[in-house]
Amino acid sequence: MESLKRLSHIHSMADITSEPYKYVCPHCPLYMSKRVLQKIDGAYTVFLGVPECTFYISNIGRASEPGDFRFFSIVTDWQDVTFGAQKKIKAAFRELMEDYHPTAVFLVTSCILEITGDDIDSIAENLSTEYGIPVSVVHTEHFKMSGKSGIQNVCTACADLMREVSAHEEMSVNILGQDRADFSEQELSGILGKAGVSVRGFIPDTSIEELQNAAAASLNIVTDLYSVPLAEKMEELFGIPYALFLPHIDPDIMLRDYEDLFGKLGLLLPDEVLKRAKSAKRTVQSLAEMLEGRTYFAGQPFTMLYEFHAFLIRLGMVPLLIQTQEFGEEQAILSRILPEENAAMRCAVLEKADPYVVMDPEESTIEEYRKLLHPDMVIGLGARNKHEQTPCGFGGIDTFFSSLGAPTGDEHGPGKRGGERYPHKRHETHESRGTHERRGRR
Amino acid sequence: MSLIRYRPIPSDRMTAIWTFLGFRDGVVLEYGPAGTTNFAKRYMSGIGLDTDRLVCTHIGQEDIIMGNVSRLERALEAADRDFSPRVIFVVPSSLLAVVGSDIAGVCHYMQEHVRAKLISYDGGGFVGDFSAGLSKVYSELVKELVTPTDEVIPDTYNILGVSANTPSAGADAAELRALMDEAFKAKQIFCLGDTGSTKELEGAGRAAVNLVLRAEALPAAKWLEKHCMTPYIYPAPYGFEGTLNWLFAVGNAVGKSPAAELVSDIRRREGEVSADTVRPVSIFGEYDQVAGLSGLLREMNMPAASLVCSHSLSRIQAPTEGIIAPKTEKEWMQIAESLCGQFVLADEDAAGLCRRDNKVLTLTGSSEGNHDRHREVSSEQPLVGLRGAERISEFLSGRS
Repeated sequence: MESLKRLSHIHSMADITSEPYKYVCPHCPLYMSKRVLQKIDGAYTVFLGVPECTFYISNIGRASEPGDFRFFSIVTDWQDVTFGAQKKIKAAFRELMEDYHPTAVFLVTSCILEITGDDIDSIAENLSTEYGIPVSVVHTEHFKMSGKSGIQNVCTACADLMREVSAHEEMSVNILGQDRADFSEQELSGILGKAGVSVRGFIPDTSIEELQNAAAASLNIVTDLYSVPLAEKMEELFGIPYALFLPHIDPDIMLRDYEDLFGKLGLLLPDEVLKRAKSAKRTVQSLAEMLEGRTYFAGQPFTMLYEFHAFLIRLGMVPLLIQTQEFGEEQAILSRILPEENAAMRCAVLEKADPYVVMDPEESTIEEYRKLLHPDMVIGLGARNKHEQTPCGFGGIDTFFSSLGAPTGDEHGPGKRGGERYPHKRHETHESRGTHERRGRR
Repeated sequence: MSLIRYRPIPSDRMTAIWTFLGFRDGVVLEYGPAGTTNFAKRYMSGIGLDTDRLVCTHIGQEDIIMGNVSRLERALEAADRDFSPRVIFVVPSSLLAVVGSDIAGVCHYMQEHVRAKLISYDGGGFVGDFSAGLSKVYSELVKELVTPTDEVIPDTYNILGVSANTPSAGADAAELRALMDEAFKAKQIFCLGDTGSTKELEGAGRAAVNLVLRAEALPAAKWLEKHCMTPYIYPAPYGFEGTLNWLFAVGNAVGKSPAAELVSDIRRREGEVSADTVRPVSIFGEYDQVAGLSGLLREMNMPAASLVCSHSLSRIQAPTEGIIAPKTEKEWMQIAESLCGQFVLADEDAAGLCRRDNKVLTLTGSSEGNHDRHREVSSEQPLVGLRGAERISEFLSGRS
């Protein structure tokens, strides 16, 4: 425990103490990039790297795609490390073009090429010019970034495939960061539909053809922080504005996103949104008394780190130990798009508490920390590599608080209690409670 | 190598990990990005290895730029404390190999701080493919762990050269054990590459004979011959004649004749084999499989067509004439696609490329790419020994 640092000392990912991984290791951005690229119909992908990375990535999902040659590899050896891989990449690319005639190609780099310094971006640019097709580079070096950056970098690379349009379609939006099927079941889907807004496309759940025409939308709705760089790039290249519609824990911030979204669409905020905001606030209030004063450990939050903990602190809770797997990337984006709010949230947390920060603790390590710090609650800690998407809108807030034991639904009928993933353990003795508060507060 | 559509050939570094994971009393510590370990755990548990003893430090760019090895130091202490292993195998990532980190040096000074013996692997994935890796790893393991001795335990043997990534390897080793039991009532001391303990490997120098299953284990066999006076037998017993020759060679080495009943049984079964139709036969597989099964073709008077090795031949001393290792995947594909009206023994990918007028037997355990014209040899079915000869000859005789 003595090697762990507290939040006040954390300013970058390098500041967070990382314990050795024993049983479960995080996914690398290379793996995450393939998961996303599998969603893009018609995309041809070439992975560049050592035999090990290319072997493993070729093996992922192989059984489900026998003979489906959309994913290729170029393997680097010691000679490429010493003299550069350009010649090999060009020869293999020629083979790809002659045998498969792709209309667009993603070149996905891995750790080794980032270390040797091969200028893959320039190589891709030359290949694009030579063959007259878009060739986008996705960087996935795990020693620099978390797994989720693989998703971000694929999404951002999608902009290279888009074509200029003569005019944007009115009341037509792209959803960035959500899958088509997931989105159709969420509140925003219904609310946009009722307001007469049509969803043009989903990125990265898309096809090469859809991507080529994605710039026809008049607004991008960003539902995941990792889609912000794509939205910024599309704004820069095609003049498409974007509205943030990120997962939030705070109903007031969620409402603000709705207001901003409908403002950008030039529409009045529907009454339904206000009703849902009221309902979410009631959900939170119903738990306020139960949560007051309770200490907790928390895993990677479904929303932004500081917003999540600042809100729970506002409810009177005390964070003792918190997890963040994507601190570097999250802070890089937030300090660019919401610098003041992000800084204010950090201050709000540090004003009341200074929790320990962990990256990926093993279950056994968490257990040791529990014995030392005795948290009243453990919220999602140890859940790693979550791929499920968080619901947009107030639905996400309801889902989270119902997992803590709040009643769900407008009528606040019988609620669904939290399962084993969110076990509640309250230590009632005054001594231990007092100890928690002293440890948790500055 | 050029564009790869199927799977790249596993590297020496992967070989090191899957071989080290065979030691029940060892821990494998990867020093590098955790994503590679995630991949490795996923793949290697799929080939039957216990990956709970595969741990990882992770690494950040600051560590690489500043040459900071504190993560490795901490991880060595943690692995030593949490697992109490006899040996910690430290396998640095390719990144560390490129930047030239002195991992052996770290292991040297950290040895004072841990109870487990530290063994570092310096291949980094750039030594070559898995064939080169097996050669290096088998050699290093016997040099590091076997105690040189001139003591011999009669009626004992070691098997050298099992590789977890070769689906038939476990069944092949089991077939050798069955033959050794039936022919000589001999007991195995250690099986290099299979599941075992470092303690058992330490005592492997006392075996009466070493049975080499694949060419990559020859350097290890030669080291044991030099330092423990243990004779070795190579190649492995493919085919009926091959099995008989092998049994007599083992008998010579241990000073015993193989059981007469077994010998006559093999001769009787060999006599029962005859091919209904003679067709050219192509074989795709690892070197010893291709070389060994091509010997069975000679026994059956079947003409060999294409003999294609799935890895580099760089570590194979004096490879059998006619066996080729295609330089590119495309060349390999073209060979498989060009076969016509043949018997084909092949891995699943090559099998999938063969035209329907071929009769194909897949030599690997996966069902992928399998359809009605294929029959499958699962990982429970050996390619060597009497059982291997019977299965393959049955297929080649056109009766299955």
